[in-house]
Amino acid sequence: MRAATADRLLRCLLPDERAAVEGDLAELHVPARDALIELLGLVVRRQVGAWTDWHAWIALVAALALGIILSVVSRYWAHNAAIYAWLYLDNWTPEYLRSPGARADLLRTITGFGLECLTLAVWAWTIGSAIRALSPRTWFSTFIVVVIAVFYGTAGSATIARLNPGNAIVFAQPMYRDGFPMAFRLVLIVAPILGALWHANIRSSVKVGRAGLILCAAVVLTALVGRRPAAAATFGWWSISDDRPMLAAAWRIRQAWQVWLFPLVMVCPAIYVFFNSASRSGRRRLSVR
Amino acid sequence: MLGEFEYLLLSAAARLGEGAYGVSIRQEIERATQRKCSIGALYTTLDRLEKKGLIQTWMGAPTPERGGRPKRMVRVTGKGSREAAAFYRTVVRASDGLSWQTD
Repeated sequence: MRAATADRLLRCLLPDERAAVEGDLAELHVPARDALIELLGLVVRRQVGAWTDWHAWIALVAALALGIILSVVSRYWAHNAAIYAWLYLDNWTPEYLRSPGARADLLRTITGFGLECLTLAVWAWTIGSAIRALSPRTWFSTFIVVVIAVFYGTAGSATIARLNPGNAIVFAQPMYRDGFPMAFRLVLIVAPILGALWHANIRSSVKVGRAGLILCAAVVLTALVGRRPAAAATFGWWSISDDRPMLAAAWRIRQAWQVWLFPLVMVCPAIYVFFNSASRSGRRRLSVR
Repeated sequence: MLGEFEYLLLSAAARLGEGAYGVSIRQEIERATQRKCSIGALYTTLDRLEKKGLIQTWMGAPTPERGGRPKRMVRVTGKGSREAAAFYRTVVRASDGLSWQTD
């Protein structure tokens, strides 16, 4: 158990330092108990030192903001997907395939769903990579903040789909009401963020080529989802009280230019990771010369 | 102005020359101070000194006695030598005429 705890503490260190410290402890034949105490001391010092760096606070604030945006967007898209899932799965009829209009609608629904899933996953991956690149020592604390923001960022609000009495039959089922948003958030947000953090933990940095590909994917997907994030911002975060704005007022909000910042904001992590990788690669080439 | 532990680390690294790395520096400091030196204090001070430009560190080759893991090698820079020398001169001036008797 001491060895397992020591191993977990070692994973809190950056890869190079982890290797050097492991080697030092092995060379000195430090007993497991003493090694645990030494490692704990180093990890605590590193964590305290990390939070004196402004990068850690920028990463934290950005992670909180992006986590809330992901929370709003994922729930909105999940509820929309739930409505179509109820329509096409719970109420399936072969007529959907016989009618050309219904076929086209089904295809559009499946394509839109796939696009939204892929976009959420890519956004989440880039956020994980950016957290690790911006503040590698505080990635765990920042990850916890993102997860809290993703799951609780929409507390006290509901989507317009959920508030629409016409959809009551859909959201009466817990799977559609709560299961879909939970699945979206776990599979399409938390898992990709963890994947990106784990990948960065092993490789210590993202290669420029890969960062460029991810940036292209993020830009293309964000462009393809078009106004959907703006719709999520407008219709996905409504007060559950009776004092809600009229739809006309919501429509005016949607026309405001500020709402278009949402897609731009979601591409920022990918832009940061790319330029960070490019500058590290440039520095490495200079040091080799 | 250097701190006490920073000076100890620079002195140990300078004395060890090309053999200066984490374990050897730690053993040298423990020999000089007759006290245990923790990995936490050592590595955070190495980072601090490197940020100030007083040392350079790099990852050395792995060795079998270290389980195939690399060493963090250390070299004192010119700036580090000058800072250490200034600290030493300060201590000598401050100690001028004093005799520390131990009971």
